[in-house]
Amino acid sequence: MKCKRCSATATVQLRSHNTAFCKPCFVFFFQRGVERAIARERMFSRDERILVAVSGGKDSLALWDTLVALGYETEGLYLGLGIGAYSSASEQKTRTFAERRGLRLQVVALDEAEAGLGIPSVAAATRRPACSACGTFKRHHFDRAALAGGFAVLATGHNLDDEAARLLGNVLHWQLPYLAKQRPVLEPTHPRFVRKVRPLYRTSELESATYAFLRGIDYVVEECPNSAGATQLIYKDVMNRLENEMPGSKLAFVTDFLSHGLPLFAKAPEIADLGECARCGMPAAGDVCGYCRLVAEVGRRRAQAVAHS
Amino acid sequence: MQRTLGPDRIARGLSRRKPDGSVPRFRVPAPMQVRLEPQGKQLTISGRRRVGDLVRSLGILAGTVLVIRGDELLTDDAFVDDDDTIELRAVISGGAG
Repeated sequence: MKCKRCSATATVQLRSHNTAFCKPCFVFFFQRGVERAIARERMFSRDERILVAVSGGKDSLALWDTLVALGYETEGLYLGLGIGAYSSASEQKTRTFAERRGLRLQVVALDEAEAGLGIPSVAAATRRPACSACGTFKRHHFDRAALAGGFAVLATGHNLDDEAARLLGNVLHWQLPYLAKQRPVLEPTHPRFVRKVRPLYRTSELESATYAFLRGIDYVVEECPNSAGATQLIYKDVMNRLENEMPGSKLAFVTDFLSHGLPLFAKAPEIADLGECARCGMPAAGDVCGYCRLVAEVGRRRAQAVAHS
Repeated sequence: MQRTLGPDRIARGLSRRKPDGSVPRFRVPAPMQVRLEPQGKQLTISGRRRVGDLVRSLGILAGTVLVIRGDELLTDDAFVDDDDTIELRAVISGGAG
């Protein structure tokens, strides 16, 4: 198989694009694709500071590497979720990535910053699914760090497969408010929020894993232990079966939704007007934000457990 | 018991012996080692085949794994054979992003 750009022996085959590349040409293709996505959706400009949420996985580290290569001013934010060996390995790989490239990295450890608020213990105390608590904590800490650091933009490593799986889930359940908000750029709905962007929304997991491998990025290959049986993985499997039979389906599903479907849902009812949380000051739909409600619930449940024992 | 070759076979160059009379040594190739990550599962597979056929034979969908041999990635049309050590690394993530 030959590279479509230079005719050297290909290293990467992309059935979704009906093409193949050698290593240097794939790296060029990947970075140019991210740059075009940023420009197409007007995500940010070169004079804006970008906070990149990194987890130690292939997508977020590939994104950070690409943004640096493209000349953007970035800083990393790693949130230590307290999920045993998985979190330890993720943090180590993220720190190593940043140190080797001389990049600035903020590390917020849930276990240290908020005593005993690691995801497993919160899930156990509240009997909520771990992923639910994880999402609430991530959103809060990402928003807070972006605000505190004066960043214009928060970038996450959500990729095409994530977007396609989420879109499938939203369509299956006709989640109109979520369909109205499913886009690669979310403008702030409150002065204390920053713009949230997903520069990899057109980049498949295969592409980001390939990029990470070819760039020598040492990322966490293991999946989060809490993700076993997660609904999103079922949606991803469905999309991969479609993609296997009809290459390009995932990209068409997401991009056609954005160009044709999204405008139809844009008038869906808004979820709520946002005020400010009475406890932490961050935007909230009620008096107290979801994060502070969750933290209070953990405290209440633990106090009850102590009283019972 | 060692077979002896008749003078005609030696003359026609059909002897398995080297010119100095020693017996050449042949190495039997080891089967291919295939490691599935992140499961950590190890498989042993014999015989030359294309990467695409190997992946399909294991029930894995195309485009859901990186096929790695040493420090290189392999495309579907590349051949793998005995003595190779291959890693099939899943690209689907449900945790780290």
